[in-house]
This record gives sequence, C-alpha cells and structure tokens, in this order.
Amino acid sequence: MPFLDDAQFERYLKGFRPLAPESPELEKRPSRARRPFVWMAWAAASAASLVLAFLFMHRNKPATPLNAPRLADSQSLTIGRANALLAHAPSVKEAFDEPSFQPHPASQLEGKQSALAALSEENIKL
Amino acid sequence: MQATRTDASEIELSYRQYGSALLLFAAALTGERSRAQDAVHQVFLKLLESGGLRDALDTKAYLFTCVRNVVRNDRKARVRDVALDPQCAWFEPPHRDFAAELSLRRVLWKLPEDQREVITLHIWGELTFAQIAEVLSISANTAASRYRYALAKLREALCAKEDCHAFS
Repeated sequence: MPFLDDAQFERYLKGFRPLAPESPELEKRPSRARRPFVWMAWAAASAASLVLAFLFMHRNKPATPLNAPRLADSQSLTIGRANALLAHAPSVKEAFDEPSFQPHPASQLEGKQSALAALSEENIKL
Repeated sequence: MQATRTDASEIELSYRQYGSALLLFAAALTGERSRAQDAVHQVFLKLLESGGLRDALDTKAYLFTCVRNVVRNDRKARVRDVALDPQCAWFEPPHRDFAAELSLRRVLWKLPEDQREVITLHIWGELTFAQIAEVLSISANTAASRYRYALAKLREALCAKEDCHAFS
C-alpha cells in the first residue's frame, strides 16, 4: 500500500467502512398492541385444526357392516347373541351401544289409545 | 417529554445515517465494541424519551457530542483499563483484508485519545474541523493540528507494520 501523499492515505483509511451498530432490543420486540392478534391467530388456527381432525376421524370411521347381527326389539340379550354382536361390532363400546340405544317404537294394542294422544285431542278450557 | 412521531422518524433517520460512524467513534474511545454499542443506543433511547433533536443546531455534531459524553460518564464509573478485543471488528475492510483491519485498529488504539478522537471524527465521521471543535470544545485550529499529528502517526505506524518503503 504505497501512500504517496496525505490525500491518498486518507482515501485508503476511508476504504475501511465502519460497521453498523446492531438494532437496539426495542426494535426487535413486537409491540404490545400486536400481541393479542398473534395469540388470537394462534388460537383460531389451533381450533380449526382440532375441528378438521375431528371431522376427518368421523368420516373415516368404519360403519357397522350391513350383515352384522342386530338385536330385534323383542329379543332379549343372551350370551350367544352378545357373542355374535361382539364378533361383528368394530369395537366393544359399539357392541354395547347397539342394543342400549335402539329406539323402541311405541306399540299400541288394538282399540287402545295412549294417554298423550287422548290428552292432545281433548279441548281443555281453563 | 416524549418524542412525537415526526421526532421519532427524524431520530431513526439519524440513527441509520450516522450510526456506523458514531459506533466507531465510541469504539475508538472505549476500545470495546459492546460498550460502544451501549453508548450509541443509550444516546438514541434518551433522545426518544426526551423529545428528539429539536434543540440541536447541528444534528451530526450534537450526536457525536452526546456519544462522547455518555462514554465519558461510563468511564468514570469504571476505573480499569481496557484491552483491545481482537475478535470484535470495528471496520469492514477493503478486499476482506481482516489483517489490515486488525492492524488499523491496533494502531488507532495506540494513538493518544485526543488525536484518536479527531481522526475518527474527521475521516469516518466526516465532520469538518469546525464541527469537531464544537464536539470537543476546542478551537478548529487545535482540531486541525491534532488531526495532522494523528495522521502522521497512523501512517508511520502502519508503514512500520507493513514494512512499507514507498511512503514519503
């Protein structure tokens, strides 16, 4: 680096560029006003993913096979029938749910009427 | 008094414009980049708190004065001498010549402080001698004289380090 005169030496020195300072911590931190939106966005994303996961699981759940034995309304639960239900049901829980939550159609004897039907027909005056 | 939005943007602009030169000036006074950085940040944070650069006639000179005052106050709190940290660069050297960068830093650090201040302010801070005089509370002639001495010493020292025979 041959410096012939002061001006040349000054130019050489100016070739060394001072490094820039790092940003102060305050600049890096997100403002407080922004934080609630960030949290809300996270919460919404988490809720959406949970709902999607739930829907996906229910869509893929195997339905009860059509040829699976069903317990008729009048049938009573015996060991043999329970074994048959367990063998065909996808899970133990569903095997027990099957007979427990079947709707029972209201059976009426001929010439008889249910109390609810009779009351609904009556014109009660208060 | 808090700085208004206009003041804050003016302060930010000054930070981007003069930050590097202010950091170098503080590093030339402290010898430590981290302390120098703290000093520069302290100045700008105080400016944001206290209402900005409204009272400064010459913004650039004012900023250098503030940095110098912060470094001096900090130095009063610490009595120990500081060794130059060879790992923390002050400059981005031309042609990635990091050995030259270290040499320059060492030579600069060996200069007397009053000369080091002037040469840093003039070469890298790009302050005029009148502005330097304002920052250091000296006359412009004294500033120019210190600069000449400093330049000669720098040249001599760098020359010796490089075994350079072409210098006049």
